[in-house]
Amino acid sequence: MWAALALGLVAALPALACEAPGAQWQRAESANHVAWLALQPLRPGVGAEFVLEAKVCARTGAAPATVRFDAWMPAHRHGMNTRAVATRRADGTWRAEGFLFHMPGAWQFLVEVDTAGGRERLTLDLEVD
Amino acid sequence: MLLYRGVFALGLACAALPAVAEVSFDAAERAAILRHGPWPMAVPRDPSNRVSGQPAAIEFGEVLFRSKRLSASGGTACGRCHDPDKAWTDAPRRTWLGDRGRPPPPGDLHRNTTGLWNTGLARWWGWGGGSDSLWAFVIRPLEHPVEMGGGAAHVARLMREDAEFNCRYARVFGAPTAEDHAVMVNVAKAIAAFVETLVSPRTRFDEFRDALERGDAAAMTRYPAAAQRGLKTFVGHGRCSVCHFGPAFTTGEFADIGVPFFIPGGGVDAGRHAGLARLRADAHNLLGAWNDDPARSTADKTKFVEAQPRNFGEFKVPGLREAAHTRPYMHAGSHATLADVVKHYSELNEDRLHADGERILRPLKLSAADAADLVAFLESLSTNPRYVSAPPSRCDAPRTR
Repeated sequence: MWAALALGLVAALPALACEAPGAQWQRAESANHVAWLALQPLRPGVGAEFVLEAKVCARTGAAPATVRFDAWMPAHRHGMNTRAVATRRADGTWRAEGFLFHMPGAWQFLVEVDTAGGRERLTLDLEVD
Repeated sequence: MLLYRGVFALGLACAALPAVAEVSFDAAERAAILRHGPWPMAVPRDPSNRVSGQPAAIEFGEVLFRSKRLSASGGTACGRCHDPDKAWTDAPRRTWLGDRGRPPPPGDLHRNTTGLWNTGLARWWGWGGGSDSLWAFVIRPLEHPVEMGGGAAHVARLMREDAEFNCRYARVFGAPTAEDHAVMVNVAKAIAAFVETLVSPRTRFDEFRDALERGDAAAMTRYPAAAQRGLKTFVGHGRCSVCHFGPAFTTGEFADIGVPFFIPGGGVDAGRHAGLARLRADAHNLLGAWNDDPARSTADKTKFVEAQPRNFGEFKVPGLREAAHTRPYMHAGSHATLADVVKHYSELNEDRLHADGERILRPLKLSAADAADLVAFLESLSTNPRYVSAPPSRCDAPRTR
């Protein structure tokens, strides 16, 4: 159902000890952070709620305590009809509920991390059909 | 209970025709076409309605749906506006005058009556999505002073005092309690159990779509060439299938398509914006105590839905199956025919649309022939089935479920 799942990569970044939690997790990166993302169910259809699981690591120092998760359609410049709500588990991973793709097309996940130097955005593109 | 007569007569007639010129579809168009099936879809049981899918409740619901006695005057039934012989609408009437023919107050009941085929597959009900379950949507006309006009006291009295209703109610829910509102909610859940069984039959399009999937070129040629050309526009440059998506031809969500939302006589219809306000204020929404599902397994849509400025003027994207028989069209019935609807998209006024980025909707600028083809495709999604139900079983004494 999904035609493609592509990563927003930043080239030539230092290695990071932030392992993928599982085979189905997809990686997104920014200058100072790495995020692993997985969907439940794995391939949600149009008009079906799903959950985003996330592991967010800092390249140096502690994992960020404040992370926001969202999705939008860049070409159409609109987001979802829902607002996702994220909770952080004791092991530091995140569970964001309330995701829903209300139409087919090119969607992009947004992971926003607040740092001392400002807000960093990690992205993960996918085609929903 | 549900039988169809004469549904496949057209398909059989077409089978005798010589093969027509094949319309070619590229890979993307082919994939888009296949996403509109297979059909029919199974309607899932509604966990928020404990009698969803129960035969006794479905039968009771149909009796209630057809009964004028649910209305305050005894003159109006659900089926008056949702007429089985008119694809469950009051076509071609645009609005309803209300119980006893009273005109609605200015600004009220100005919306187009929606058909009920496949409504059990919806996520939201009403043009603004003010209800998050079918049973909650049914409560609205029961309580509305101008529609059925009876409200909880009238409905509950009927269930307690009328022998047949009392028998059927008890068969499904047990004896009516003293709480009028609880009895009315149960009545709404029985009606919803009936309405969610209304799944439209297979169409000429479905035969074509399945033939395409299995690579049966001979069967594909039975689908009229005009409909094939219209289908190509629908899934191609028309981009109709972005919103009229999937087997039911709707995402189930909301869109602003540039239809004026001013109400004749004054005011505006805020569409989804008002629908969300109604949803949040509704004690019957899925987050409330009337939801029969302790796990609230279908309530996430209500929990996480977010009101946004763009909701103003958005209306529900209707499914297109049996649309040929649900005229007029759009939320206020502003377009009389399918040809008028196609003309709307062909000559779309982009200034009415609100979009910051790439527009999904653009004027299609169809030629007369292309517009006729698109209408031919839309008509191929309809069969105008005759709804025939068996007489309800006798109910002389309550039975356990």
